[in-house]
Amino acid sequence: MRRSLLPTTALFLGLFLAGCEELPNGPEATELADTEDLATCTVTRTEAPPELGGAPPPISVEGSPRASACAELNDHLASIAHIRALFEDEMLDEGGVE
Amino acid sequence: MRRLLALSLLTVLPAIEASAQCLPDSLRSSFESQLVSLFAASDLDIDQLEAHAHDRLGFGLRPGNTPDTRTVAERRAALAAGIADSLGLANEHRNNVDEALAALRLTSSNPDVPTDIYRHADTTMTESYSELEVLRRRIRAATNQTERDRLRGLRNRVLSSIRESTASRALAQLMVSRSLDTTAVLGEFWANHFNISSTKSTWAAIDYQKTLSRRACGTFRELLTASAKHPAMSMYLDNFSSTANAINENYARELLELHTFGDDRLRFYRQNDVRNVARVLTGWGIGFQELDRDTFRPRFQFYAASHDGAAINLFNSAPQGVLLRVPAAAMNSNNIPTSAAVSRGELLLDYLANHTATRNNICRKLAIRLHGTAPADLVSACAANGVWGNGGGDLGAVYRFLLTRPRMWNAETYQRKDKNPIELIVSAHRRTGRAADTIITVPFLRLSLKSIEMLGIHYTDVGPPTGYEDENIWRSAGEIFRFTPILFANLDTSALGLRVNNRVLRGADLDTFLRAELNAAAASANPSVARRTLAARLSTEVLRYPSNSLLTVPSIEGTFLYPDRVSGGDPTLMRSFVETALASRQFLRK
Repeated sequence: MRRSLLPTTALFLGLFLAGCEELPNGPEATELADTEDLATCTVTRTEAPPELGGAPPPISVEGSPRASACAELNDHLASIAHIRALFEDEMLDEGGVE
Repeated sequence: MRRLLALSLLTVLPAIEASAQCLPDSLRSSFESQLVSLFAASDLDIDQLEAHAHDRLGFGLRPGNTPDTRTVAERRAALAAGIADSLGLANEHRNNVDEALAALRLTSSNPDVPTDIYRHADTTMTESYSELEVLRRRIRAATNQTERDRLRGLRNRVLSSIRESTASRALAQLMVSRSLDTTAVLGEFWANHFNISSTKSTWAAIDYQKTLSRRACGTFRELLTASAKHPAMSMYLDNFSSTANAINENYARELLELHTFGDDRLRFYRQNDVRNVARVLTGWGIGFQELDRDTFRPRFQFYAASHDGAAINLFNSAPQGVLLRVPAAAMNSNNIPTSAAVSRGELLLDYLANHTATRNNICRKLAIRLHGTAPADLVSACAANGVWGNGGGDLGAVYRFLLTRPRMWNAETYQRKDKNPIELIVSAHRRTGRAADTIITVPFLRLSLKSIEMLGIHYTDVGPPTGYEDENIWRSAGEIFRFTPILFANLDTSALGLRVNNRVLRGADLDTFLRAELNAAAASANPSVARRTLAARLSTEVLRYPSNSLLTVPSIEGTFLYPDRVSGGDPTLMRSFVETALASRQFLRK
């Protein structure tokens, strides 16, 4: 619980901010990268990015089912980053601000 | 296709409230008759049967007036009816506890310190999470370090409040449970079986407790699914972060090793199955639905795009494994899993809930909980279709089966199990007659939780997924006795009464009476016999210990039978006697 989650969190945040092109190699990432639909995989944020543990931002995507999948993947990665950031925040707080 | 659509819709509907009963009305009469017959055939007397039932299907006897004037047959019938009632208890009466806890206020001069420290006992998961999320956003928007630190301090207190509420409400529910309250006992069992930690699952932990409790009388499949999809379990064992590209095996491993098969010898699965089960459960994450600017609803969300949709064969390489084929996920036109792919994980849960190993594991654990031991023939009978059923485990049928075995009500089971620390502390306060309105207080709950922690259980925050042990010996009587002054520091013995000349003496009057009786005994022809007679009367009338068995406790000899040895520190003679009795071997067992 007390192990640092920062490196992993940073990785996911980085991936999120980079968009679909930079997803780790895997079935979805490869498929998405090979298609023209990627151009429509646009993530629109309505609040600041989650560098400091931001909530998953609302996402709007126009385009094909593949683009929706990209958005959903981003949505999941943002959710993961958010929860990990919450853990991190809680551990920082337990460390001492009173 | 239509079936897949229906399955996918289920994932976005609110969790179905369980309404199943552990004892349907149609079975009640025969269930009670069975119990009465078992009581009549038992080698335990009616006093022992009553004590036994209250220890195993509740948290111990309350003080009462004895001798009971009812006939033995009447007492047997009443006990059977009480057990039947306790299987049909709804959870409504428990909600009053949450409301009472939430209404408590502390006094504080610091405006930033929340005074309603247990308010989260009666808030929803959405409310608790939203409170923290709004705070997090304020911290992020803070323009200077001082303000940021102040808000972080406030968030820290909210987190502490949520965790303390989680433990306090769970304990308070047990403290105020009815004398016979099988569903409360089993609710605690399931919370421990599907253990999470309130440190890691914070804002989701209370909702998780309530979710499991509501399903204690449904099917095992429903419980398993409720646990698998709940954000608390998802965070605790990291399944929220499991994607096709970054598989996390933590939940899958405990799902097989603890929640279902209970097989740590790899007979029914192999290590590669753990990874493949995790693949089937990829994309089972947590979503945060923004309801309005300050309200966010956390819930299970299936992220199909991060699901590993490949066809997988499971369990067929294990020595006793039975093949489960998980077909490839339905894909959309661009070869991405559709939302219907969540049904692959549900297929897996179906398989696990009906598997022989799961049936045996759950029946074994429940038998140990209720009987103390679990012989192989009992477990296999419980796990058969005639009891477990073929619909994922009819828990009501399992409970009824175990409660109507002769061994449940015989000497082979009576007093053969150690109370765990939770049972010990709850039953101590119950035995001394603590009034319900003195339970819902901050000092009492804090001291009780601290006592339980001293004895080895960090209640609702047990780190390992195994939960706390249900089988081992917690502490010896000697160790408990050393802890006695602390454990029972806030015992309320004022409710205990002794009937003297048709008048019930309590508190100071009782203490004065006892001292006079002991002085008279000392002056009598046979002081030892006179003291023992008095102690036996206290044992049976005040504490409801059956017979005179308390007199076999050596410490009673030391503290009560020889009053000159009772030193200062104990406010009353009666209290000294009660503390000693509660540290006795008899009280430590159930």
